[in-house]
Amino acid sequence: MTASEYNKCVDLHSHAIFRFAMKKMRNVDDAKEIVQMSFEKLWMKHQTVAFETAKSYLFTTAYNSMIDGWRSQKTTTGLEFAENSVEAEGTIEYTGTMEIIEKALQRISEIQKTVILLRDYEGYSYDEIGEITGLNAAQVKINIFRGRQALKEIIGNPNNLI
Amino acid sequence: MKQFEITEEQEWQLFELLEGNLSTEEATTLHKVIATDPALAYHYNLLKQTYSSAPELLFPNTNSLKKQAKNKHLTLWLFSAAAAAIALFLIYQPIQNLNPIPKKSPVLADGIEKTKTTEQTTVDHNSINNQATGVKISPSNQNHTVRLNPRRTSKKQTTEFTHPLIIATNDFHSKTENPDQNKVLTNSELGNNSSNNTSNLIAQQGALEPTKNGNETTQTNASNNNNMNGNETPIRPSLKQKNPINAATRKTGFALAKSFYNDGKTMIQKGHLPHVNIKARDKSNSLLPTIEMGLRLENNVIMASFNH
Repeated sequence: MTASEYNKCVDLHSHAIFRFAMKKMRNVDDAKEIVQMSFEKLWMKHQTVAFETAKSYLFTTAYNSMIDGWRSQKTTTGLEFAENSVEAEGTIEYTGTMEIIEKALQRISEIQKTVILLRDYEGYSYDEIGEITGLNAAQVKINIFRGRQALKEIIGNPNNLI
Repeated sequence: MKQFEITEEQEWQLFELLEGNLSTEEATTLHKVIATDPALAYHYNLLKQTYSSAPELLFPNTNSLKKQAKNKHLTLWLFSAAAAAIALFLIYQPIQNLNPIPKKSPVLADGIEKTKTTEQTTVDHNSINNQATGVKISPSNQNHTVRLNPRRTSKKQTTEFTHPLIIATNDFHSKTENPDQNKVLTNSELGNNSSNNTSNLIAQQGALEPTKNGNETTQTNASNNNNMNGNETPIRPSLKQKNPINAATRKTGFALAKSFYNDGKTMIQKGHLPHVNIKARDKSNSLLPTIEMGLRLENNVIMASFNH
């Protein structure tokens, strides 16, 4: 991939990566950092990564970075982080379906959330999602199904969020 | 919601429908069923709400992620320049090891007119006894004094300085020095007044010997003043004056010997017959009888013949 192709990738995919990271991280700074990290890694390997596969590479890198971030966050914050999360969720007021879905997404497992976001936001196929997440197509499909079932339950009864 | 319960198979059918995995016919049929089944319709609507579109989120500064394409010509030029610099360094480094002192200083021009071509070489007795440590060459009316100081000599240096022919400068290398002020001047620095045939030799060696000599001048004692010309103009301060501790220059004994060897070899190969008059001193600083030394090249080895 040439430098110009890399810059084209920035124009094409930076917003998508940012959206994906924002949905997962729920923090602008963290999402920005994920985007920058992903593109830095892409630039470091731009001579070996083809332009056609750059998007998949970026999402994979972003996803793995987020996984690493969560792991380190869990080890460093531990119980304190979990308690704060429960407190924050208890004070949320839900006004619309979109917000309910938004919050419901935080209740399902990370892998279900990831595959649903990649499916809905980016329109990836099961195989492409599998490449990013390291799952096979059947696993991706089942995770999407289970995730949507969970979301459907929450949407059908918003009290489940409290 | 209990009244709208459906089976898991129906859940999968709704899911496949919304995922777009059903054919047109299957989708049409299922839509008809959903229209007639309130439970399916209820779950279908709920499941449909889980499909969200991408929000309007934009990365704030995409330009910060972009990279500038490298100028290939500039890169090539930089690589070439770097390679040339490294090559020059590698070439220069061995030369510098042999010649750590700048070849000339502006002051040297003052001494050029005072130099003549007649030289004698005086070798300290210690040098003949393989106790050499360094070299001091002083003019004493265009005479050379090669003085070796055993106190500053390591064993390794001693072995390197074993042979007088290596230590002694040849006839074509005149060196002047003011020992009182530790100044050293080579013939080449004096304007190359000696034979034209030795210009190459002087050019090569002239810068090498002052390094050693300059470093060792402070090791000499006052007895050497016997051979010095007190009227000599100070030419260049010694290394020790500039840099009191310079271990690197103390290790130039081998470099000096190598220089003499190369210079002598070049001269002999060009048909010149270097001829050296050596005067040695004993421990009481008395002059010993002059030794005449001739050089010749045999099987790439410089042979020296001595004649009292």
